Amino acid sequence: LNVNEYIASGVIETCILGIAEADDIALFEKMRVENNDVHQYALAFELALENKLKQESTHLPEMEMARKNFFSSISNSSVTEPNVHSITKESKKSVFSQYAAAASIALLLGSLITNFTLFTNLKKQQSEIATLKNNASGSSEFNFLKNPEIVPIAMNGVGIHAICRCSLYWDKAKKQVYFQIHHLMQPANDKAYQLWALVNGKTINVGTINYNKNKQPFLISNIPDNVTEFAVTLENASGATVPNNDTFLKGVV
Amino acid sequence: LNNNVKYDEANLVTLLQQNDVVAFKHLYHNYNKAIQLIVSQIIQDNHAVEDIVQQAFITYWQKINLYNPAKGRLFTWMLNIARNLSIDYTRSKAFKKSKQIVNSENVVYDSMWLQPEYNAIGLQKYIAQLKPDWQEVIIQSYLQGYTHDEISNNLNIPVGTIKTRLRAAILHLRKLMVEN
Repeated sequence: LNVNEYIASGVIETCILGIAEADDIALFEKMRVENNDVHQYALAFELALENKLKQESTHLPEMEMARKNFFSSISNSSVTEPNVHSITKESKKSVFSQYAAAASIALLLGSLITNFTLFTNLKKQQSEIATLKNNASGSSEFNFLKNPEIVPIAMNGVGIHAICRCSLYWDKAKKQVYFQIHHLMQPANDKAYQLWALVNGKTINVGTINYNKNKQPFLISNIPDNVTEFAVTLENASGATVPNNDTFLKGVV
Repeated sequence: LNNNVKYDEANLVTLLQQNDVVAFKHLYHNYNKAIQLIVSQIIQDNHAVEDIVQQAFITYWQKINLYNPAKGRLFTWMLNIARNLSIDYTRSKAFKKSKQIVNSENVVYDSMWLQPEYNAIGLQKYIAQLKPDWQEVIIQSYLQGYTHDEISNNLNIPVGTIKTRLRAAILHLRKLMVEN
């Protein structure tokens, strides 16, 4: 294969833009590794494309919701472990300081009462550490996003509810979904949002949506297989066996 | 968050593959608008564009370990993920319902293409300068995600001709981009 002809053919650009056929892509990947001219030519096009798109996109508006949701997702899914360690370390240090101080007093006064106080404090600290550990492990709501098998589904508002928006992340293997609210009115006390799954043309009740103001995702289990569409309706708090006609949100798988 | 930090691409990729939050924030700040531009070339609806951009960055976060630098630059990998998500969306039932397609998909795509605000940005600005024959294959291939065989069927032209037109059009696009 003549490298100059290959470079001049335009096939490299089609591969980079993702519009080449599989056999062309396979050949390009091989040529790129084996031939520096091909690599340099490809790199120059990639850089030109990147610079051009960055340059021409500067006037576009910021997308606040996308930014907030993305930052919230990655921040929540990555801070748990370091926090547990640092809190534990500090707490142990604090326990040690208090222990040393209390022990000095105990030695000086030889008081049984002080010993009792020391013991109580130690127990209290241990209890606080345990609580912090539990809280930290419970705050990793977004860790599920690290699982590449999770299927994200945009739940968009329907009709007059067009402003409503939520996201649903389906873990097919575990038969569960994580439901995250972006825009959804808080229901009245006697009402609740209910999630439905469409399977083979049949609507199945999946469960009630636990409305939370802090917009943290929550888990809904027992999701059936082969769902083609999810929908949300507003029902009586006691739950409904069939959905009413007023669909708030819909998401196609 | 320090947006002024300049990362060497190799270092950035290493940090991203360790799920470093600061590196991902840097990635978002530096590329969100370019990704938005790619998505908005394919999808009109602003809410859908925002959803797809969000999905794209979450996909980068989830799948960064699948990125192989030997196959190309990070941005090329990101571009193709965003483009594929956008094309998947245009093929979804939700999109088709929202557009209330009556006749065929091409009617919708063609009308999108004719809207002036979509002719002035990104690659489309350059595509608009191509010969109509070339425009047709680029639009169906790049913006609509059709395979060469599908375009061949759509246009009733041999696959070989599609490939030739596509490559000629791409080479011309490259020239236009460099000149501008």
